[in-house]
Amino acid sequence: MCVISDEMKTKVGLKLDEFESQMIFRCDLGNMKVKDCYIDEEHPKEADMLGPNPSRLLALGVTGCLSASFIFCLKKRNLRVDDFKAEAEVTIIRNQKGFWRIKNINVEISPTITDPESLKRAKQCLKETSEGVSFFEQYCIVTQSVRAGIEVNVNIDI
Amino acid sequence: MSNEYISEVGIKLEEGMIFKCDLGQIKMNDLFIDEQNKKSINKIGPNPSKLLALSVLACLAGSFTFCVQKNNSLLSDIEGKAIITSKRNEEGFWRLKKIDITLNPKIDNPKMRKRVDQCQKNFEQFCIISESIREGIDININFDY
Repeated sequence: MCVISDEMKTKVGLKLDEFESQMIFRCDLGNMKVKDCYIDEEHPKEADMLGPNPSRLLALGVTGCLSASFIFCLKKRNLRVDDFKAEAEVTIIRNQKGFWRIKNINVEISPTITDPESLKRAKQCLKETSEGVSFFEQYCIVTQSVRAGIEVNVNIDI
Repeated sequence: MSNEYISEVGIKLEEGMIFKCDLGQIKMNDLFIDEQNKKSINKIGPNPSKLLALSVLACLAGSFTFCVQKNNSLLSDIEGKAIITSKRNEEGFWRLKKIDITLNPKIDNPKMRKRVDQCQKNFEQFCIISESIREGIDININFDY
């Protein structure tokens, strides 16, 4: 990654894997400590897949970004979660021409914050902004960038 | 429902800003999303922007090989790379500005070259991801073969 003042560039790659299929790719994540990363467009059944398909990867990008943004917002207030999980549901529909397109991603974020005072202060991160999103969502690069094309609904169970 | 399908993923906090992905029954070793470590060499997984770029790249590569296969042709290899450019918006928040994709299909014979040339013209419409997010992010595709 290189940072030039207000602009940042980063890169990833992939290569066709040496399976018979032509729809399984191996990720190239540079020198990251990732043992194996496959993207599987071949198998329709989850139990047969060797890795997530692109729709699942996109959902992970959105969910990971929102989750990190929420935790970042807490950190700025010296707060922390006791536990944390999040789920995303991606709905894909055919457009008028018959091509599959992502209709929406519904993200459910479930942080556990046991201390009542911390919980109260954590809710500051949920305050709605003038853009109609929760305060913490502004920090999320991925979600705010894909929203022009995909409806992303975020619910925090707090 | 033939015109709609739904899939699910999940994540769980591992530590700090590192999340472990829940991919259900998919046969893959642990996948982590790492927003904690700044240097690539220290990261134990991609960050969300890289996941998005991988998603776009794989979707386009898959759509391209799908197009080539429709003519009973088989690519012997294809590689791709994506460069993501992020910029600050007027309020100072980082946003993804563009993703530059390069696809390198291996051309073994003149017939394959002809098929690859044909597919360049219309393969993008098969890609769920790039065609869903283009309104917010510029996606530029180049071929190198």
